[in-house]
Amino acid sequence: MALLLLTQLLNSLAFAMLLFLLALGLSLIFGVARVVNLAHGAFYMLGAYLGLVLTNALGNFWLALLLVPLGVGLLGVAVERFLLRGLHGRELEQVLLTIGLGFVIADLLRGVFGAAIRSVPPPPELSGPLFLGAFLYPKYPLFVLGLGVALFLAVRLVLARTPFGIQVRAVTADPDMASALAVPPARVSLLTFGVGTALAGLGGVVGAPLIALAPGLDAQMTLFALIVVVIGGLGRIEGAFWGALLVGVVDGFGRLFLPQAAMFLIFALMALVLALKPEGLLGRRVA
Amino acid sequence: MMAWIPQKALKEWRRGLPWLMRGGLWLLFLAPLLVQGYTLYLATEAALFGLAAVALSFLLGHGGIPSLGQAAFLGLGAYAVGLSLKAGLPLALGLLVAPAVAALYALLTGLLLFRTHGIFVLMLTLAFGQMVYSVAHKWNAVTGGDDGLSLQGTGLSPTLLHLGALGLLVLAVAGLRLLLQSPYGKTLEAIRQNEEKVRSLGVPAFYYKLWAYVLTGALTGLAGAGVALHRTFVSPHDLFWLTSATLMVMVLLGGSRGLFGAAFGALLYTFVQAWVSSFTELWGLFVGGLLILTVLFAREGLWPLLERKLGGGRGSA
Amino acid sequence: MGKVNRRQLVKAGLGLAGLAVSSRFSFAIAQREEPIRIGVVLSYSGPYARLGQEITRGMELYLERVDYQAGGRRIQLLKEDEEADPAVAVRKVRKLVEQDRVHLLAGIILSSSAYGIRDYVHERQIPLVVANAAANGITRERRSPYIFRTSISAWQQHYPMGPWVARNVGKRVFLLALDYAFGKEATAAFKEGFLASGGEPVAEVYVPLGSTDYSAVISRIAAARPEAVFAVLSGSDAVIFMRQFVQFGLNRTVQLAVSGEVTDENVLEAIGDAAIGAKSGDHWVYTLNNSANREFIRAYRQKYGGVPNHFAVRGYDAMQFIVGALNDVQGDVGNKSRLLTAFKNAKIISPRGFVQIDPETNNATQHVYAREVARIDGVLTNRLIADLGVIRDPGK
Repeated sequence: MALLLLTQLLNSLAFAMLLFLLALGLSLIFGVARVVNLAHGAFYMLGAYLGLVLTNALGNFWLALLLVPLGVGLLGVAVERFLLRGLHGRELEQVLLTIGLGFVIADLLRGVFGAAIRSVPPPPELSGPLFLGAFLYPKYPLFVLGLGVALFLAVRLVLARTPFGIQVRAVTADPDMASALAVPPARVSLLTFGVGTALAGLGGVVGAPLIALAPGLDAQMTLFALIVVVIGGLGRIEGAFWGALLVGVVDGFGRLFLPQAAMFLIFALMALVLALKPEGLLGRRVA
Repeated sequence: MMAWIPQKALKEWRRGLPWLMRGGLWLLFLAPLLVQGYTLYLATEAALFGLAAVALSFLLGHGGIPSLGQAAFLGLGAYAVGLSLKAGLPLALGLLVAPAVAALYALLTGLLLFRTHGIFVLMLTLAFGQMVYSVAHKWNAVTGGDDGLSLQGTGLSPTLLHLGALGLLVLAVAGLRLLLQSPYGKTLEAIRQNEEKVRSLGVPAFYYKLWAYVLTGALTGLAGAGVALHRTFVSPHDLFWLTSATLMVMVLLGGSRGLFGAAFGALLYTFVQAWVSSFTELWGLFVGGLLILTVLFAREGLWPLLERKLGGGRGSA
Repeated sequence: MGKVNRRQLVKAGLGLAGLAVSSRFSFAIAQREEPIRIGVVLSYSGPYARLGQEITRGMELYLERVDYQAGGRRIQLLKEDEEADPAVAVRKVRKLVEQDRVHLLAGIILSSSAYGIRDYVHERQIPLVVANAAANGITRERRSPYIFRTSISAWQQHYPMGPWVARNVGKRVFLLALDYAFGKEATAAFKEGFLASGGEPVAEVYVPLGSTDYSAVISRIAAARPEAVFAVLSGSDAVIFMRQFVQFGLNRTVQLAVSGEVTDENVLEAIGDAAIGAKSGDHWVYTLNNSANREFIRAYRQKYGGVPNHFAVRGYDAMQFIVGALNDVQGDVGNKSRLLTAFKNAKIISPRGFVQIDPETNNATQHVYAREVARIDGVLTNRLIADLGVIRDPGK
């Protein structure tokens, strides 16, 4: 029983870190650009398919891990510049535009890659289980777990120390004040959108070997990321991190003990958090 | 552009135009009665979804409340009428139970909902909606789960069903427009524009929004009951959040203000989607593209755009 | 810019409309007598898109073999997307019947779609050939004289596996299934045979459709230490489960004895060699040594490349039944009772062996086989281990 719980804890944490990658991007985008990006799951899918193609073409997972987020991020920048910027300040229209964009990306991917389910093997270095005495656990989820934590620490450092990070925080806190202080909100917003979508793309490359690739996964991932961000608090990276852990653990143990009600549990958790603390667990009130 | 038309006639034309367009819209809804068959089936579906879209338009365009959880009302209404019929209750009673159940759900969730604002309301409605979906999907004993619930022996002819649906739609548009003219409606609009200010005047904004939400819930529940009778079938699919998103697309496509736009949007979306999905399986590409184009180039929706173009005015968008 | 765009849009719209009209037109001109129109409703988008695609491939493969002719008349397929949504299935069936005036309907992926359209099809008296939906009720309590199932019922496919697994794989088995009607019916059928043969389920777990993570279930399996896992999963669920099963190293200690859906060739393609050795029960096997199967595999490879799968077989056989019945009535689809009688008496030599319609239930009576995943001729597929006999659905 103890081993079962430990295994499931690790599983939950690995999945939580995948959710964190997605939620982090979503949260940054909301914080800076004030856009709820419902195409986030579609960017995840795009990243996953591109990762598959590049891994096969180059024969190297790690190169794909580096290149794919760049490509997806560039697309994100284009979307911000050419589609979303004109709708500045119109929250609902932006949300709807991203819903439409999500449909378009997902259908284009299906048109190109077909409806078959793909599964991407982990890179050879990380495939197969790890033996710790009697305890046996696959290597790949551990890698995802480590990557998530490292990324969390790195992003915190970037936000705290670098000029870009400080600008991001300034715009998140108060865009008017930031522009009065000569921070160019438009450029920061553009870059953040790029970084946010790049993170979704990274999530796709990392997530494909952990789960699988199938049509319909985009909507599911968007929902998961949204729940995490709403629970943790929109626009807060700590919120995304702890929110992801909470959702990952509730989901994981829900699946273990009450598999039929797992999804219900997550939505109930979200409703509960929002009812008690509408701005999310770690959120500040957003005007 | 239309300089050769005398100014006076143009003025008359512009004054009469909204009425002409409204009449035209109802005629479009009525015309399929002549053809019957599949066209009528789609038109009835459009009228019922139109009812739900008009309700959402009231909530969103006039109450300023964005909801991505309308599918829950639709589904509750559908299951309510389905289960009532299964329990042997008369149809009329089922048609009363459906909006009542949806309104009750709106009341309960609304009490939690309106403690938050804006985009958070959107997220919460989504969360509640998905909870209802999970329950409908899992509670096999009552809802039939994934297999759905079949309605047998409603004995309604397609013509009668269509006239009923259309009648409800017309009544809803007329009634809600009257309501918007009333002091209640005016206050609701004021809350949408500046809630802080209205509140500072001592108006209980919370209850104004709550009642708007409950009313919307009841209307959407009624629409759901209609959908169930129309399809003679209820499935948990209808409660999934994509149905809510579809309603949102209908409202936006037609125009979120004035209610006629929503009805027009539902008609247009239903027929175009049915047509497109017959010759390509990538219909999501089409719907998504349509949504993007509407948001970018026809912000206030196609109905007002049409009105301006027909009125000879220059597009300001 | 408004003008140019509008004009282009109108042009594009007219073009598309023209295309749709002309394609229908050319058929009508080519044939003096009106063709027999068969409405096909299958999911071409959504999570089951691949199933729809494969069933359609099978259908077209068979129709090409008979040169799109049956009973002296030309056959025309009108395909509509079910969109994995029963409400859409209802709408599309109405379109096909009321607008396109089809003579017959075929396809249907989801059992819920089948239930959704059942009353309409029954009242309209349009013969429907179910080529995939497996819920037992379709040919049991909700059966109709107009509805035939040429694929297989959940009970038929999984009941014979129970005794076979208990005797040949292990008595302590962990049961895992998707939490919807098919998963439950399949598990119940398996258990029925399994318990009667002295089997002992160690746990029975249902998971929601479209799960992204099976590690929780796999942890439970590891803790329960069964001899084998019986699983009813399909599509992405099957892929994710199988991958993680291997990732966690469980394939070294626990055998897999699963539903044929789990080791379908589409799924195997995504899992890879990790699946080798997994046992399953199904109504078709790649290595079945009969001439119909050899011919089917050759034709499939020639046209589509790659290894066929049981969905393609289901499509192929649905058309084989339809063409056979149409030949029997010399293409006279107007005489409903003659056509229905022809369906009821239909027997075909299928790639899956001899298949015949049970006139009492309108469900196909057929062989079920035990299979094992193997690499054959360089492709990943299933090989035959045992014939579990001819299985007839009891119809109640």
